[in-house]
Amino acid sequence: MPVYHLLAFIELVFLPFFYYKLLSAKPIYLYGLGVLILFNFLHTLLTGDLYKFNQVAWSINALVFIILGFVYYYQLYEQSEPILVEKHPMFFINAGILVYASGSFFTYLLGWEILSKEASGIFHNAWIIQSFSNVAKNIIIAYGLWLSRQM
Amino acid sequence: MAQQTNVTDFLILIIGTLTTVLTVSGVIFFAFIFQRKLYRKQAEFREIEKLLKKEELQSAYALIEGRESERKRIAEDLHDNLGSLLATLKIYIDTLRNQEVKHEEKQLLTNDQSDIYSISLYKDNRTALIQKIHSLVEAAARETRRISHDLDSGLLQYGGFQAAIEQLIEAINNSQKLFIETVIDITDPLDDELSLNVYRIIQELFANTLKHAHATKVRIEITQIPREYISIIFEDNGKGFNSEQVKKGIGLQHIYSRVERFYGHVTIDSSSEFGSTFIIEIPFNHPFSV
Repeated sequence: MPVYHLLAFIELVFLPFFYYKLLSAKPIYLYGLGVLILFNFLHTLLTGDLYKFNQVAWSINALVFIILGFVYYYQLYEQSEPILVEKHPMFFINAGILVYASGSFFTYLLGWEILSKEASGIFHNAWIIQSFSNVAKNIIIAYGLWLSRQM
Repeated sequence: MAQQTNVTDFLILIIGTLTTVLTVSGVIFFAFIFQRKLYRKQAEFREIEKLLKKEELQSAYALIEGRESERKRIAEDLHDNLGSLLATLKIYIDTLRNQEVKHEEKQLLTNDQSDIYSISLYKDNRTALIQKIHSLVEAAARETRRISHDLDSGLLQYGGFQAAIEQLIEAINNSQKLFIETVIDITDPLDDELSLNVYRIIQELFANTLKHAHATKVRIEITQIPREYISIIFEDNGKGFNSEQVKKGIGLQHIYSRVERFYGHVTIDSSSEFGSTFIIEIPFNHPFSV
């Protein structure tokens, strides 16, 4: 479980940094990121157990990533030059992140249920949702990266 | 307790599924609106292209119209000036020939060589006629030279662009209708096509000022940025005009069509208080440049 905390922390640093490079409203963004990291940190501290699933904080993180993804799409839409979606690598990379974030959000909501191994029925294998979204993300991002090499 | 867990699970399922569905729908929605924006932009471009084509055609028409009116003017010049001179010349030559015939016939009939008075009168008339014919031929030659000069701006060809402009300005200055301040800074020779067109543009600017502006002063500045563009700044202290209303006037259309032909642009600033300013810039990398 502590490894998962590390993974979540890396995700929390890497993805917002990625959007920091993409988005134009940088000062507001930096404050938001600060609040998010502080919230994650405090949440982990308050629960006081590295072996406990940080369900609320991670769900909020995933939700924030979804919002950031759509803010980026909105920014793309607002720019004066229209984009050719099928040839725009960042459109696909962002789509991959959105798919992954939505799958993660679903899984993190169920986090404790799954880890407690008390989940039954449809939620018994709920990690599959995140795994699928992760695979979809990787395929979509790979396509986006391939496109960026073509340009 | 179990029922409460079931409700929570159900809520999580609803929220999770909704988030996933909404996110994926959001991606599809953005892809759709991006495409729509692209199509809209493409449609706008097509519309602009259509307009440009129309403008281009209008410019071409104005150019053709310019050539037509130039031909018409030359035809009128030939007919009114040279034509009438030649017609008069023909009348004098016919008169001279008739007089000679009559004189010979009279001599044959009378066979009188001693009518000194008659011979003297004939000779005087003949001399006067020849004198008139001589001056008419001179006038015709002068007129031919003037028309020829108008046709190809001879000085432009032989003396170069700067000399032609200086001569044009000197001619207008001599008319005492305008006081012209001139700055010409041309370092590299211009190609024939461009120099002829710039010359015509300047001619048209002066013609417009003389015809409509009621100006007393003109300042003209012709500068060349080597290998980049030629710039003409033409200012007068006349009564100005509404550039939007006058834009369709033939004189201005000729200027526009000549400038657009070389991918240049014209900026007009005109007011009744400060007169008119024309700023014309013509790049050198136009299709006619070699």
